[in-house]
Amino acid sequence: MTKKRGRSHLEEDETSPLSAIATRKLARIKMQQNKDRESRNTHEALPPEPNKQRTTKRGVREETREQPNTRELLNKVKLISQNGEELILQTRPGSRLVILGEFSILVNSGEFSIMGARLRGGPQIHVVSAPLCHSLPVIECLSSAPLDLAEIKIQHYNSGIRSLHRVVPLFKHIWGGDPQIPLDKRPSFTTVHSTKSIPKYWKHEAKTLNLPEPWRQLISTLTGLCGKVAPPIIVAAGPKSAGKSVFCRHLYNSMLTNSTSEASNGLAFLDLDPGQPEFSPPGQVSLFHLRSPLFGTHFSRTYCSLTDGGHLVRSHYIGFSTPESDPDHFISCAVDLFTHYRKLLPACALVINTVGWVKALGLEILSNILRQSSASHLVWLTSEDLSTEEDHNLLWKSLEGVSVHKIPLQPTKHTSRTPADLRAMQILSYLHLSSRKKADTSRGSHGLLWDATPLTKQPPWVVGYSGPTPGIVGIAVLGEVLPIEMLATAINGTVVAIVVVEDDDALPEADADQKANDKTNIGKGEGPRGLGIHRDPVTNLPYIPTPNGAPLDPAKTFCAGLALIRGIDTANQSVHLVTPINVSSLPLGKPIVLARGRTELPVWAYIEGGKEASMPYLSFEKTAHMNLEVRTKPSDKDRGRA
Amino acid sequence: MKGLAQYFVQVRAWSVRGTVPHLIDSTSLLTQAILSDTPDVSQQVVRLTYTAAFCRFVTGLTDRALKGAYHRTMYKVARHLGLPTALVELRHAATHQKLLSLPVLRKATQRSLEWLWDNYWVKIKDLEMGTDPDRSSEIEEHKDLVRRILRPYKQSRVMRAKHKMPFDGDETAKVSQRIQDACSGSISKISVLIEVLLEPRFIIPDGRTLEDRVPLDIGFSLWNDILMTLSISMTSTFLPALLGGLLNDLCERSTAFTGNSTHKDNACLWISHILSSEEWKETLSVENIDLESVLQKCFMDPTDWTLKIASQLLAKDKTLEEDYAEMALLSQIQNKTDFQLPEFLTVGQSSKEQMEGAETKLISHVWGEVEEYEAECLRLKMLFDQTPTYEYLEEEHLDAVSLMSEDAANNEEEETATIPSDFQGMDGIGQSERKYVGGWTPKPDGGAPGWRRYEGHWIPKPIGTV
Repeated sequence: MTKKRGRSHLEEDETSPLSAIATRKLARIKMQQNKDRESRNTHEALPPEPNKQRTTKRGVREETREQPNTRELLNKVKLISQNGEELILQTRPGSRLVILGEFSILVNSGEFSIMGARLRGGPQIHVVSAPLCHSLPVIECLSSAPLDLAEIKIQHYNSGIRSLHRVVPLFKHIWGGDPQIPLDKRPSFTTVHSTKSIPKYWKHEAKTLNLPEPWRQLISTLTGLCGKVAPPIIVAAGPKSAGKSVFCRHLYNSMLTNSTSEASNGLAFLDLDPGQPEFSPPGQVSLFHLRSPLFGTHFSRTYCSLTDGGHLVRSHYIGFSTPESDPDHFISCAVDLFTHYRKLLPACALVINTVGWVKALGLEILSNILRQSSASHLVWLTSEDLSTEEDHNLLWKSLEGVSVHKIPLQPTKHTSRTPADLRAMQILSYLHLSSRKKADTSRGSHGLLWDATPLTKQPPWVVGYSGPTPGIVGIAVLGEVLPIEMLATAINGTVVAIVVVEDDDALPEADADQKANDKTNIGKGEGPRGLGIHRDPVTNLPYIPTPNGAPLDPAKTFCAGLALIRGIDTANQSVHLVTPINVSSLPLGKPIVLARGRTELPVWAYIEGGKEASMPYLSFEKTAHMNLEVRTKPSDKDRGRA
Repeated sequence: MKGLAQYFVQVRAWSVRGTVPHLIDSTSLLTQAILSDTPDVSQQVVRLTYTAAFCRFVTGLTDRALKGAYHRTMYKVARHLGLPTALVELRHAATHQKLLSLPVLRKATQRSLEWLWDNYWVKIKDLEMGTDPDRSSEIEEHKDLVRRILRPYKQSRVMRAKHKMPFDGDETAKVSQRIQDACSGSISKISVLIEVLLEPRFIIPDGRTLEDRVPLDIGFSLWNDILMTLSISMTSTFLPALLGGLLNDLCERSTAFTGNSTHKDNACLWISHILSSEEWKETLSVENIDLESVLQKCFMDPTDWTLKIASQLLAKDKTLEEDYAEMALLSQIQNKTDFQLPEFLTVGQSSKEQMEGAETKLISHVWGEVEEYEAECLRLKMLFDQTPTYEYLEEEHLDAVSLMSEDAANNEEEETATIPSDFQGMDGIGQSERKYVGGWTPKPDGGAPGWRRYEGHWIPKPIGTV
C-alpha cells in the first residue's frame, strides 16, 4: 500500500489493516502537518480531537469521532503507567504534550523543552503551574538516546494555590479538571488530549504557548553569547502587552539550561516593570539571581527564595504601577539595582525587563536606562505601526555599541482576566503565602505554600510603634504630604511596603524646633539619632514627612516585602500587619519604615471572610454614581448617521 | 472659612487610600479655587487656579465616554448628563485660547458647583435617608407611600375576585414597578415594605371586619402574583425578607398580635404555601431559598406554629429529614405539645429508645452541654497551637514530600552538596566569599525586635478594625 504525501486527510481501507510501519509513517506525516500549521499561527487553539475518516462502500467519506485511547495520546505519546498521582510517558523526538494544572516534571531520560528551558535526565524536579488564564506551556520532546524512547514523569503537586478560589473568586475555574469532583480530591493536573478536559466556558480561551520563529532564533543566538568573556546585558523593550515578559521568561530559561559554563553561575534578572513584575507583587522593581529555570505564572512564583530556583538580591518599592508619577525615583532605583548587580554578580549575564511605555517620556526613561546599564543588546518587540517609528529610529541610532534586534509582537489574546484582574490576583496570592515552606526544597521546587484562610481570620503580626524597641520607626506616605492627624485614615486597611533603612541618613533630620523638643525624648523612644519623626497627638503614630512626599533614597534603603495593615491598635500602640515575609530574617538593628504608595487592595480581600453587618471602608448600597453612567453603546439615532 | 480646610485634607487622605470618585475630587478642587481668590494673590495666579480646577472637572466628567468604541462629542455627553453645554464650551476656550477673564471663570466655577450639588450631593442625601434609624418620620412617610400603592391594588383585585373576573397582569407589573422605585434597592426600605405587607388587611386577613374575611386560599391567589413578581425583580432581597418577617411573627418573642392567634395561623399558612405550593415552586428555585436556614430558625424558637412548619419541611425533603430528625424530637419534647410527630420519627427501635432517653433532658440542658464542650475545645486549642492548623495542607504536603523522597533515596549525597547550608555562599561564582551586601538575604538568625505574632485566640474581624 502506498500513501501519498501531502494529502490532507488520512484514509483507511476498511478491509485490510495498516502495517505497523505504515502507521508510524502516517503519524509522522500528521506531525509534520501539525508543525506546519503551528508555525503559521502563534497562539493557537488546542489540537482538535483525533478523528478518523472512513470510506464506506459507496466511497462517501464520513468522519467518526474516536474516543481518545488512554494508551495513545495525541502525537503518539505512549503512556507507560498512570495512577492517580503520577503519569510516566515515553515519547519520540518531536512529539508535544500539553498539561493543564499544577504538576512537577522529572525527566528520566532524553531531553525535553518547556518554556524555553532544556531539561535533561536527572534528579532535578521542576514545578510547573499552568492555569487556563494564561497560555498553556507545551512540553516538547527534543531528543532521546539512540534506539531508545525519551521518558518523562509528571507528578501531582499541591502547593495550596489551587484552593485560593475559596476566598478569591478570581481564582475559580482556572485549573481545569473534572468539575464534578471537588477540588481537593481532583488530581492536580490534566493532560489535554481532548477538549473535554477543559470546562465549557474556557474552550474558546484555552491557548497553547507557541513562539514564532524569529523569537526562537533570537533566543538561541543570545543564549550562545553566554559563554563569552563579557557577559551580555540584554534589555527587552516594547509597547504594552507585546509579550516582553514571555520573551524574557523563555530567554532566561534557555540561558540557564542551555549554556554549559554559565549554568553554575546563574543569571541575573532585573525586573524594571512595576506594573506586572515577574516574581513580586505590583509596585516593586527588583534584582534577582536565578539558578534554575522557572515555570509558572507570575502569581505562582512570588519571591522564590532559599532554593536552587532563585534569590531576591535587592528590591525597591515604587508605589505605583507605572513610573509616570515619579520618573526620577524610578531611575534612581534602577541605577541602585545596577550598582548592586555590578558589585555582586559581575560574572552573570543580565536580562532586563522594562515597562511597556515607549512613547515620549517613557522613551526618555528607557534611553536613560539603556545608558546607565551599558546594555549590550536591545530586543525590541515592534509592530508595523509607523507613526512612532521615527522616535524609535532616533533612539536606536543614538545607541552605540548596542546591537538592536527587532522581533514581531506577540500579544496575548486572553480576555478572561483583564490586567487589573491579574494585578489583583498577584497581590492576593502574595498576601496568602504561607509562612511555612515545604520541607524538601532541594529539588528546584520553589517550596512555597499558599494558605487559603481568609485574611480576616489570619492572626496578624503585632508591631509596636513606640517605646524603647519599636517594631517600626515611622510611616512614610509617597506622593503626598498629609497633616499628621490624617495619617491613620490614610493608611488603615491598605497595603504598605516594609522598607528597611540601612543608613540613617535616609531619614530626614529633625529640624531645630523638633530637636529642642526631642531632647526630652531621648531615651524615651525617638533614640539618640534626632530623626525628624512627627507623632500624631491622637494615635501617636510616627510619621516621616519627606519633602513633597518624596520616597526614601533607594541607595540607602531596600524593600523587604509588602504587608497589609489590618488594624491600628492605639490602646497598645501597635499596628496589626498581615504579611508573608520571613520576619526572622529582617536584619537586626536596622530601623524599619512602612511606606504607603498607591498599591490597591482588591475588594475581594475585604469580603473574604464573608459579608458582615458593618464593615469599614465598604458599602453595598447603591451609589449616586449610577445616575451619571454614560452609555457607550450607539442609540438608534447614532446608527442613522454615516 | 478655616473649617473648610479639614474637608480638603480629608479628600487628600482618601486619595492616598485609593481612587476618590471624580465628582468629590472636583468639588474639593473647585472650592479650593474659590477660596484661593483673595486680594493678596496675583490675578493671573487666581485665573490659572480657576482654569485648572474647572478644566479638570469638565474633562474628567466627559472623558469616560469619549474614548469608548462609539465616539461621542463632548457636547453630546454633556447633554446626556445634564451638564450645561456652556461649561463645555468654556472649557474648550480655556484650553485652546488665551487665559479667560476673572468674572467668566468665577461664574463658570459657581455654575459647576451648583450642578454638582443638584446632581450628586443631594442624591447621596436621598439614598442615605433610609439607613438612619433616627429618621423615624421618614420611615413613616415611606410606609404611607407603600400603603398608598398597595391599597388600591388590593381593592381592585378583591373586586375582580368577587366578580369572578380574571386578574390583570399589567396592573401587577405596574404596581410592582412602583414599589420597586419607591424602595430603590435600599435594604431598610425593603424591610419597611415587609412590615407594611404583614400588617392586618394586607397579606394576612384580619378577620375583624366582614369584607376582610376572605378564606385564605383566595387570599393566596390575590397576593401571589405581586409577591412573585417582586421576588423575582428584587432578587435575593425581597423573598428572604418576607420569609424572615413571617417567621418572626410566629416566634414567641414577637410582641405583635400575641393575643390574636389567627394572625399566627395565617402567617403559618402563608409560609407553608410559599415553601411548598405549586405556584411558588418556580420562583423558589430561581431564588435559591435555603430551606435549612428556615428550619434552623424554626427550631430556635419552637412554638406550635414553627414546629408545624418544620414538620412540613421535613416531610417534604428527605435529606433535611436525616439531619434534623433529632432536633425535631428534642424541640418537640421541650415544647411539650401533643402535635403529631411525623411518621418517620416514630418508626424504628432506635428512635423509640431515643424518645425514652430524651424525655429526661430538656433542650436547654443539651445546649448547655454544647457550650461547655466548645469552651473545652477552645482551651485545648489555645494550649497547643497558636497558629491555626490547616489540615488539608498538612496531608497533601506530606504526600508531595513523600513522592519526591521516593526518588531521592539514591541521590541524597548529591543533594546535600548542592544546597549551601547557610545560603550565604554562592559556590562557583568566582570569588571565595560572596555576601549580598545591602540586600535582603534571608539569614536564619537576625530578626526584628518589636515584631511578634498575635498571642491568644484570634477572633476574625473585618479589615480595618482591631
